[in-house]
Amino acid sequence: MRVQPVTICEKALILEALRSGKRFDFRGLEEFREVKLVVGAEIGTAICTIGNTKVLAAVSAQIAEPSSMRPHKGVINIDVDLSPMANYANEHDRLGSRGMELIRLLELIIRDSRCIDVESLCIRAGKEIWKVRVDVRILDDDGSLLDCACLAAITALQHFKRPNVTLEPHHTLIYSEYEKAPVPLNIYHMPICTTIGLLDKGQMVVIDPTDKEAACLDGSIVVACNKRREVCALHQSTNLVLSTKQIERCVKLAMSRAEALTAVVSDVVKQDQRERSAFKRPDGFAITAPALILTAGTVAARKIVAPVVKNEPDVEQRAMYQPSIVLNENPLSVGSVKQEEVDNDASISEQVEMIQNSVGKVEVTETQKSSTISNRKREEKEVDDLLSGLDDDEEEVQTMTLGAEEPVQDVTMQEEEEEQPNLLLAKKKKKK
Amino acid sequence: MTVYLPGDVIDEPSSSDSLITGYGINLRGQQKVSTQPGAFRNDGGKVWLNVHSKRYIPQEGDRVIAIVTSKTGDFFRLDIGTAEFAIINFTNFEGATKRNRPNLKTGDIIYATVFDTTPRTEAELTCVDDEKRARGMGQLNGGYMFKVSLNHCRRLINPSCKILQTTGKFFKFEITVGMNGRIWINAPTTDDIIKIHDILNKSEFITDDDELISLVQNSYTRSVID
Repeated sequence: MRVQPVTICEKALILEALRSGKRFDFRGLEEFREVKLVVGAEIGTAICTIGNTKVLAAVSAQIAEPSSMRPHKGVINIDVDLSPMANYANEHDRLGSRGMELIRLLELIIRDSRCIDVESLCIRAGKEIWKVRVDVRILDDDGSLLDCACLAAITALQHFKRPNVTLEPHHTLIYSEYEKAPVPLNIYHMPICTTIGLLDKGQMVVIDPTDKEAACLDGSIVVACNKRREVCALHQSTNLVLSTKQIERCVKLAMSRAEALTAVVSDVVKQDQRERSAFKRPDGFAITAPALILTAGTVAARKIVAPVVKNEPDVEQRAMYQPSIVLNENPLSVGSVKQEEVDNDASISEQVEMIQNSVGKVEVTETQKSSTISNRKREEKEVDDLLSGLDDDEEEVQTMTLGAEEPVQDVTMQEEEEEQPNLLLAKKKKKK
Repeated sequence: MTVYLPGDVIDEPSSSDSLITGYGINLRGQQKVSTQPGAFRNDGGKVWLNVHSKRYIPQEGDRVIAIVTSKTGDFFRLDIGTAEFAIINFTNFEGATKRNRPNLKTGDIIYATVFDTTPRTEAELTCVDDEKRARGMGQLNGGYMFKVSLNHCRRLINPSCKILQTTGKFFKFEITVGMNGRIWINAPTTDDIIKIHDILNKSEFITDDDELISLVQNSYTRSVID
């Protein structure tokens, strides 16, 4: 469908108001709209709302074969759906120029900025990797679409947990969430976008423009940065030539916003984790439905006792849940399973240690030139590492990838005989 | 007060013998079937559904606010919020002759009446009534236009609705309401326009008189720049 053309009177009035510092939603020129963030009942889903813009993001993971050029890196795919529900200018199932721009920018921010550790997504180098897919659905479009989509995607990625796996000699064992706790993704930093509208060839700056304002402005610039004061992406979709000072100003504004929003994202994800480990039933997206009742507005309508506009409950005060209905009950255990909060920093330092240890042991492995025998040996080594690492309950797959790449340690053939009974023991241990 | 979804059969007994089915209800044989989701109402022999909608379907006799998109031959092409464009002949303006054409550019807005909705053709509008007088129709200058739901527009025009009266006690303004969901307002200052726009948007869900008054009062005393 066509988009409604911007009328002369609308444009004139919006520009006049902006030039005197006024906006139609009573904000200041440098004021952002309120951001609401909710994570869903299913792991890896999030809805982000900025004013009237609403975006849903969902993350899922699958095992796939890696590309031959990058055999130890996992893959992250991003898919965006701009439905006519959001803006009736969009076509169903087709990405117009806006959609392509949005996908390209999201890929730039999430994939190219390397905020996710893709090497930790490798299961077997060259054979199996995790393919993580982020589906972004635009539910409602009222300006600042990239901000909202980026925030929703980042929150969903933080929230997401992939299944735990262990490597067997001939196959890979994938555990369900009842057997072993799923593992969160390794995220280094959170890039947050800010859309800044520009007026009068960049002289005036309008933060977080709504759809109508954006149609009247000269252009806009998008700055993505994280709380460590690093700029992850800069993008401009129009042809304005900006001076360094103007860009610096925009970047400054974006930096402070990134800090604030990073705190919000971490808060929301942590609170959800707390509730889940306390076995509270997650509300999911139920609290995003506003408690409005529409009235038809005629005289007879007074028969309905209609409660009027209620504000959406603040995301942080989620007091509406019903406690202690355990939905995801582990059918195997007696109730002793508890999801431990994985501490990101501790796991990163663990990995760094591993890397440091294995780096020292890298030697030219001439024994591996003979293919079949050495493959068998390598698999034996894998099993040995498995057994040695089985003491730790919270098994991280990262150790497996490093184990596969570790060169031949000084292992003698004697261990082969020990292997068989050990394997049996190992299987018993795993079932616990 | 029952709500019906499309496809539901309505079997409420009608209070009188003659049955006039209105918006959102189709007659299939003897059955009344709803075609839109809405709340059921009946008044005498008339039954209809109150539907909350935002997409306009042209009806003859409706007064709408249209945006000029192009000029072709003897017509202006207008956008009234429907899937198809609407057209208006140059001569259907007050004081227009073949030599004296109305001076409208792309992006201007006019207030016109829908007078021809033959199916499979573009809807045709006119800015004059049968006696070639404008009666309030024509170009709207300056001001600001925005979109609300169709129900809210109908409610604002209803004589028993107090929203515009209450707002008028505090503000001085000019308003035009189109049945296609578009409202045009004009006021002496930009601040006033912003406040009235806010009031009209928020008053859609307010049924209580006191709340309405307090909303208008708050908007009046509130400053636009915080």
